Amino acid sequence: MSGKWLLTGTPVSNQRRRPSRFGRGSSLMGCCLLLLNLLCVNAARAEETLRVLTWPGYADPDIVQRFEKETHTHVTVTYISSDDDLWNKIGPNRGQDYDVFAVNTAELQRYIDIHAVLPIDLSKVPNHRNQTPRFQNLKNVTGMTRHGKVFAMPYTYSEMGLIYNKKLVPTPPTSINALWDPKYRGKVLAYDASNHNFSIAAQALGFKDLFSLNHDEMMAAARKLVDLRRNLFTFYTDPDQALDIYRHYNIALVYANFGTQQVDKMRSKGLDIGYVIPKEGALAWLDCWVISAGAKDMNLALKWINYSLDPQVSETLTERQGLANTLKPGAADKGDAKIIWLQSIAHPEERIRLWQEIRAGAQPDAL
Amino acid sequence: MSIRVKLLFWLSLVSVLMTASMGYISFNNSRQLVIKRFTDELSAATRSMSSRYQAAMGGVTNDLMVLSHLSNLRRLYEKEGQAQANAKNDLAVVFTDFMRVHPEYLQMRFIEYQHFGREVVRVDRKGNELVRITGNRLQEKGYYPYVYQTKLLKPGDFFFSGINLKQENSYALRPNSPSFKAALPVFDENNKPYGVLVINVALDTLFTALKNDTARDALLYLANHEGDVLIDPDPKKTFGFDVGRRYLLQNDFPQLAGFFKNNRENLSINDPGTLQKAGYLASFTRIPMGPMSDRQFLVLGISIPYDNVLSITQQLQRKTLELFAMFALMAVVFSFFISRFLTAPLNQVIHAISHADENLRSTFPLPVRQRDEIGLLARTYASMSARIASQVEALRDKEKNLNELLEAAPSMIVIIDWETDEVLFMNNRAKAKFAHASPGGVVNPLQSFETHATAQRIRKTLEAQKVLFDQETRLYDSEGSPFWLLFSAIHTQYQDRPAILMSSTDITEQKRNEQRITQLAFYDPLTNLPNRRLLLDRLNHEIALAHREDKYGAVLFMDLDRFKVLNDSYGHHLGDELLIQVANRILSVVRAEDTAARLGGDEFVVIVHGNAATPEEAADESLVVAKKIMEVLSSPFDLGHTRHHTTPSMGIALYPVGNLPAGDYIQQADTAMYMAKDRGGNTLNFFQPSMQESANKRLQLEKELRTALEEDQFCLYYQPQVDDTGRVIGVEALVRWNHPERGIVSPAHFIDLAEETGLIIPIGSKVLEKVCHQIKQWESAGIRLNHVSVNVSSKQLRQPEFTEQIEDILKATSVEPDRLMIELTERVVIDDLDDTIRKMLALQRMGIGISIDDFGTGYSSLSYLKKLPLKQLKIDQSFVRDITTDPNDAVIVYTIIQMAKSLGLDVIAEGVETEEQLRFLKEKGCTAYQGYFFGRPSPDGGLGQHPRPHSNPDPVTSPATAAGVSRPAQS
Repeated sequence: MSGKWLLTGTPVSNQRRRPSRFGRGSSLMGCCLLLLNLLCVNAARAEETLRVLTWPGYADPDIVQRFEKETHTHVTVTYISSDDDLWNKIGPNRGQDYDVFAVNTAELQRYIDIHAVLPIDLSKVPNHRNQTPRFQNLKNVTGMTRHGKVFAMPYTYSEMGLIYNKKLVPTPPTSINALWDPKYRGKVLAYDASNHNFSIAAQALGFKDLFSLNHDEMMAAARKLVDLRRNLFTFYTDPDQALDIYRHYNIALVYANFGTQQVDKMRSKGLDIGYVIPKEGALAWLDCWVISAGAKDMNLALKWINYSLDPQVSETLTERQGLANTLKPGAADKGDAKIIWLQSIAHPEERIRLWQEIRAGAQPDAL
Repeated sequence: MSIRVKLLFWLSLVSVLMTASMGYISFNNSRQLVIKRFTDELSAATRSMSSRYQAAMGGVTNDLMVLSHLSNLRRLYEKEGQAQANAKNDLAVVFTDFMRVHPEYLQMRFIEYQHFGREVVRVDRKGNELVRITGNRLQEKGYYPYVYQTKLLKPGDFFFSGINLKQENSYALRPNSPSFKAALPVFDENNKPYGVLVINVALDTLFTALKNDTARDALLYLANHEGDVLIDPDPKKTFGFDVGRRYLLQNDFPQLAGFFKNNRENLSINDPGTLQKAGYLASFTRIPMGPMSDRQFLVLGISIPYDNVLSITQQLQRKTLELFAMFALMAVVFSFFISRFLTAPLNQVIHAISHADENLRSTFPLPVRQRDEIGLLARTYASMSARIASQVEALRDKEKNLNELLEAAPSMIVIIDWETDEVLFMNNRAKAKFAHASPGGVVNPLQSFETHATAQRIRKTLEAQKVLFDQETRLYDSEGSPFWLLFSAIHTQYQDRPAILMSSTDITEQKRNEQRITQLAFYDPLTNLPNRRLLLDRLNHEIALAHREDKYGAVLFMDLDRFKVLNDSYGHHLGDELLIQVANRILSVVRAEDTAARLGGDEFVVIVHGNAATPEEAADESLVVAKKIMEVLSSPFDLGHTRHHTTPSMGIALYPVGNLPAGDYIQQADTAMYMAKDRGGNTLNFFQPSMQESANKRLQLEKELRTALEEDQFCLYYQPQVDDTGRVIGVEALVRWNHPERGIVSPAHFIDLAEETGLIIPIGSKVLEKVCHQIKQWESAGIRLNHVSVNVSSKQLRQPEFTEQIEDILKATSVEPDRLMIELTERVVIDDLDDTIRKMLALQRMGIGISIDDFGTGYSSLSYLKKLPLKQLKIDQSFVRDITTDPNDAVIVYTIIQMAKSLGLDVIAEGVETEEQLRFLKEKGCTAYQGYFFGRPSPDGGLGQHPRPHSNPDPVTSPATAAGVSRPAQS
């Protein structure tokens, strides 16, 4: 799965990397050509058209073609490169230019705020029933509903568990606190990012709201992160780097910012590792399909959403991108594993400021 | 082109080409040298820069080494408390000093591995100030590569970070300035890593220095071990990786792709470029960094655009071109002199030869002393010309002899141009002959042939055979006198022209002699008539001809009655004179194709050419000839002082009969002649009895006709001509011979003979007289007819005095001319149309009517019908006979009638025998008729003394007597 991570560009919020089928340099050009092509084809047809806005890899051409064939419609797919890109495409026109788009639960909130999305009639999405139990009651999934209305249909997600070296860690860790365990001093890899790390620290400190910390909690989390730093071998910024360090040094624990994608990659290199969801719960992003307020044909939009939950379509996503789908139980579904869906963060700039200090090696009393 | 020019051209070309290729090669070599020199210089420059960079690095590592051996460092971990603090202070001072000396050092630190890699001593450069960082501002760096990687290094090994712009601290020491870190582990007395000395080195100064050291037209490149561009002519590309964009050196220089993977130290690139992309020279070198040089190194490169390199070679190029031009000019000049030098003797030879006389001897000197091929050529020419001169001399002698021979030759020799017929040569003999032949002087004998068409034959033969020997030909001179030539002709060349050479001898005299001999041999010297020998020869020839053509001829044998008496009485002299005159008279009457010969004495033989289809005809013809001879001999001969009458006796034999030899026919004729002589002479006799009989019969008939004329035995019958009402409007007079023994004889039996003998003329006159008398008789009896038709024969009409004759008769009988109608057949009319018209007009003027008899059988032509002063057309009985059965005849009759009407002529149909024919004719528009149906010819024309309209012809008698007589005889 090498090359699935976008290595350039500014880090997107939530620090996750979108898979891209279109390679690195040529992806933009490829998208443009495809877009142009699709638009042209569209112009030539009088059929009903579904306008889809999504991340690369979520609506591959072959998948789209099948949908077009089955519904005798035409689909135009436009790709987004970042959350900000998505906001620029939907926000100003309140979704008038698209029928369906993909968005994560944290980001979704601001679209609901501006009424850019429409509620979803679940009865029109029969495949919803086939989703794993976690997604059966969408009201329990943070950020999916507001005022009792469901605004999004989960499509794919990625949780951030712990990877452990089975040679150095005979017993699988259970808690997030394992990262702080002195036993593993100098043998822990953490991810170099402000937002999640503060949430993890908050988790370790047992704070209730991981995404909205008050000043004291923030400072406590910062000091906790200094502690974490002191227990680290180093930080990593991308899975390849993590893999490299893991292979050259004695590493016991890795915070898996890239979830199952990262686990798969390491395992594919023959590394003897385990992957656990800490009992405090693993942070996870969840991408959903939502219906734009500008949707021309609600039914067609619902059909698309239902189609994406077709086992074949969802499996293809997992197969090609290494991302979990909502139909098949994944690592996060073992036992009573807890998933904490990411939410929008309060005071992200404060986290960034503190993180830069911590990252530079500041002593606790210097914060 | 002259050899000299060729020599000049090729020598120049070769020299110029050689100069050019030398120039090109040396230019190219120089250029390669220039490029190599540049490459070497680039390589040297990169290496020098690399050294410089390495020297800079070496300075850093040296500093680190020096620092690592400072006692202060040891004190840092040996002692606690104040001593340690002092040691830190001291170290900070050292750091500060170092940083003062090295403005490129941004930061110097000592970091201990203890306490999470805490900084122990740290001096930062902030702007122009050096600041020591203390207390909680010191940071923990254990997780940084320069700490944890350095920890693993062996003593003496250094750590070098990559070069980047980013700073790890929250504040940048010097924003956007490239820098790297160099670190050296510090070990305690147990050789355990205790801490690490780290220097942050700013590279901007170094980079600027490197850039400044680069030649103005050169471009500097620096990249890290992955190819990320650190220094580039395009500043935007540098440190792209720090902001998430990658600019790789190998993208700009694809040749470098391998260089980053293998361990080569240097790489030079000579890229001449393409049309789209400018070429360049470049040199790259690898700068190793620290112990992990296989993983970490820099690549430094310098490139120069090709144009800049070649700007130097351009000067070289110009110089080379100048040299080339100079050498080329020199080569041409040199070639010029060489070629002149080499060709001078050759020209001398040419000059000498071209001014040589006709004996090829030159007055100009030949370069015979030249010791090369030209000298050889000159010597060869000299000897050759000498040889040729003597040969020419010999040839001239021969030619002179030949000319003398030609002149001396007894023949006339003429050479004529084949095409133009111009006379090219004539020897004197020929000149004399042909000058004489032509009033203008010399003439081409061939042109004389042209009249004979012989010339063409000669030409054709010569064309095919080239030679023609011993030909005889007769030519005429300007006065028309013939002369004979015996000639030979050869188709040959004369003075390079196709020509005819003719050698001829005048054989006129010879020919004349020959003729004389022939005359003597074949002719009677007295009369010049062929003698017996020639006669037999001719007769043989005639017989053979007659056999072949199936014709008959005759041999007349004749002698003069009583010649012997004459000869004896008056002497041979008169006899010979008579024979000569007789011979001449015979020659005057025989036809050209006949042969008259003298056998000897008074015997003559005439061969009547075999032209007759039957023996009877031949007999007739011979009879005519015989009679002519008799007639011509009947007038007296003037023999000097006396006139003499002589009569011949003739015998005639017809040939061929079987295969008798010629002599036999002469014998037969001779026999027949003697039979005639027996009958008293002055007569002729045929050899064959039957022929004799027939001839005799005709003679008898003629005799009787003459008697009949004398005794007026001829009488006239008249046949009536009627109009539609049946009234007799006229009669046609028809002659009959009332023979004392045979009774009435039809004209068919005597008219032909009368014509032949000319008796027709007196008979015709007689008939006209009788007709006129009858008219007068009828008129006095009160019978008045419109006209009486009389047939006039050709011979009658042709008499010059014919019209006068008629006029006389009319006057004598006082018959009105319009009572007379002259009938002429079409054949007679057109026989001599002009004469006929003249006579007709005369007759018409007299008032005599003219009718065309037998109309439709001849060449009836509207043109002459219109011209002729006619009164009547008589439709021939042959049309009338078949008018009821043959539609063609009906049409012809109708046409004739219509034509006559349109011409204003009367028309009469003859031979009308049946009522049906009459009815038919009436329908067609005919108005007058003649025939048995109306009346047969009779002495009174059926009119008796009282001619009355014929109303009821006797149908029984008419046809019965019709046969053979209906055709009126021409009178």
